[in-house]
Amino acid sequence: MTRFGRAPDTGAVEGDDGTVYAARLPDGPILVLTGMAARVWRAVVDAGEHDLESARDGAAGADPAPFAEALVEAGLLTVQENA
Amino acid sequence: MEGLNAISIPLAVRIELCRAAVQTIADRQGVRMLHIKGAAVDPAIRPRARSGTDVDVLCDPARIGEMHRRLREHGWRLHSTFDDGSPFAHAQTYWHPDWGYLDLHRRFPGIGIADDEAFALLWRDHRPHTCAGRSARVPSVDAQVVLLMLNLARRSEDHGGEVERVWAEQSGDDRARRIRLVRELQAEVALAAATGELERYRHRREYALWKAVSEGGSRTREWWARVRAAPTAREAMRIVVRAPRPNLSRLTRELGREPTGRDVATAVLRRARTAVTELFTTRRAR
Repeated sequence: MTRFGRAPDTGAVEGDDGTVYAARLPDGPILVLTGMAARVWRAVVDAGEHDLESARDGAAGADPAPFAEALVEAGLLTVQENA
Repeated sequence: MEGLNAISIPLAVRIELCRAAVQTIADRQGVRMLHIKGAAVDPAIRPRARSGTDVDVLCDPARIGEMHRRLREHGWRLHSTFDDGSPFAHAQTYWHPDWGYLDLHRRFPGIGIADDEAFALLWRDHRPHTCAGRSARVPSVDAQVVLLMLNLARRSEDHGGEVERVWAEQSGDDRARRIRLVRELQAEVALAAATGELERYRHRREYALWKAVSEGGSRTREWWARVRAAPTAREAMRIVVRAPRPNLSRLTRELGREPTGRDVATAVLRRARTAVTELFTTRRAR
């Protein structure tokens, strides 16, 4: 199973509505994470759950993996290891 | 793709991320920096957090040049320089397409001691602060109160009762500590401008400058006050020599291009005309 972690030199602010505004530092840009992307961020960064199981909760069977991969591509998450 | 977009960002969010971005640059260079104003102010001083419209940081003055170079390397554009900003020449303003505006301070208006000594004093009891998940540093609560008061001194008629709330209502112990810090910083005249006691300092060379800044007035009055407030004859001469020079950053923004020699000459004449007009207006008003 792929595990994820927060990439170094990233900044994030969560809005009142659950939207996450995250950026690579110090150059940006600011990315707006909503829906499953925000769930994945919270699961990995806030809850410290490096796999994506909790991101599935309440998401009606949606697959978090493509969103996690997009966040890795954006430089916000890193792949930690393959178990 | 749903869920990952680059669309509108609330100003408060942008500013917090801006603080984190600037802190990252400072950390990489080992530059000491204090976040001031806006959301960096302790909630005990200002219960309703104000993010402001830009980010203000006070940088170790010995490292300002290096910080300037790193900011430029990371896409920050110089918006106004120390010399063409306020009469205190205290900050440079930068702009970044993602982060917005940054005021990089080398000193804080109202402080009389040397910039490096002032920074050391303000750094002495710094506190941790977090912006967008990144560790940063802010001055002690006492120092924050003093800086807030010095800032309010520059708009004494427009502080919305903050002077009364912050300064008049503090405990005796708090006030004694903060007055001690004001004395260490040699900021008594500016503090008096905030608390309405400026007339006690009529004999001080900074008096006219704080009178002009706190009450408002013409650029000519402010310029003359700057000359009188200069700590040395050399500094006074520097202000006099620079006076006719137009604000090149502002001129560039107004024109939308680099100014030519003719543009600069026209601006110099315009400044001279304004100064003469203000002088005559002031004399008639007396």
